[in-house]
Amino acid sequence: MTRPSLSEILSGEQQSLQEVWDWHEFQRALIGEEKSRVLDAPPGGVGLALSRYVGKTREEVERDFAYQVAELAQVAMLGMLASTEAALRVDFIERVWNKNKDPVSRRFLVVNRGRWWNRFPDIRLEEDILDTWRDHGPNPATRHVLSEFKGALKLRHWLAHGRYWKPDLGRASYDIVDVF
Amino acid sequence: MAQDQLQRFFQEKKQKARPADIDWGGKRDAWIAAVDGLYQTIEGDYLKAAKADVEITRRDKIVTENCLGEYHIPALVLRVGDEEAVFSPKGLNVVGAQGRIDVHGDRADATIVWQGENRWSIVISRTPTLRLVPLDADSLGEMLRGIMRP
Repeated sequence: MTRPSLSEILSGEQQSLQEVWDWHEFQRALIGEEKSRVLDAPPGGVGLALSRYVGKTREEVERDFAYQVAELAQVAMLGMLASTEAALRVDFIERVWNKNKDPVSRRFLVVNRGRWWNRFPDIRLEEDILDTWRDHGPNPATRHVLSEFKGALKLRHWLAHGRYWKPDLGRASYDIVDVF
Repeated sequence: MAQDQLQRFFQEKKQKARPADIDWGGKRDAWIAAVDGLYQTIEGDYLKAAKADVEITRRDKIVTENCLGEYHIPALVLRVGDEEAVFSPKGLNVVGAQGRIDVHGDRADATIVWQGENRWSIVISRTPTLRLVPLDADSLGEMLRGIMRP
């Protein structure tokens, strides 16, 4: 079997952390502008553009928008954690594909031994990738970052699986800046 | 931002939050009168034929709103058998209308908005499009069938 090229393996559609953040900022601004539009609208008169808010009090409108902001943050946090995972997995694939000689790449080759190119999703993010960086990475200072990221993965797991259980997260709570 | 600009910015915001040229007391009185007028129409007209089967009372309700503070306004209670439908005024500071009354039943709730003068409408839906049905004897009956137990 011929080894596929990287362009055949990777979609190139993964978002960067910055792209997810920019998307969040854009959406957050739209929510803010819409909230201003509604709260600054003259009283009375049912305009078509305000129809979804008709009859709502200021407190109800504020509660509705707070919900939108909170939900946007949850989706953005999931997107950020997913984009970070994608970056780590793409890095893994490129190192294995290129057969690099640094300690991390050598370890990745061992982890990946015997796996064909379409089985990359089987690689475990925490045990195979993050622990390799922790044990073989060039900079010991990254251990703390890896530990924090592992904690945040509990949040990702919770968000991605529908938030139906009481989460035991890596810290008391996360907001979008923590995750970024 | 220089200090004076910041001061002007805050003053404008305060002014916007409570425009001085609005007669809040007059608005409140008009709202209370409109609610009273609606109750009279419901009692004396819309429920005229069914009067023997429904007990109609009023309860005092205290509402607190921005710019208006606390005020008293009546809620209308329709009691049929062991069930009540309560018309509970929410306030006049609402988006896109002059005021709002929530109607609570055992099965569901409904919303009525005041659009000035004697115009009241039931909010059927807000999304994807706004559907308001003018309140009259027929739509009132339909609404009550929807919010009271079958």
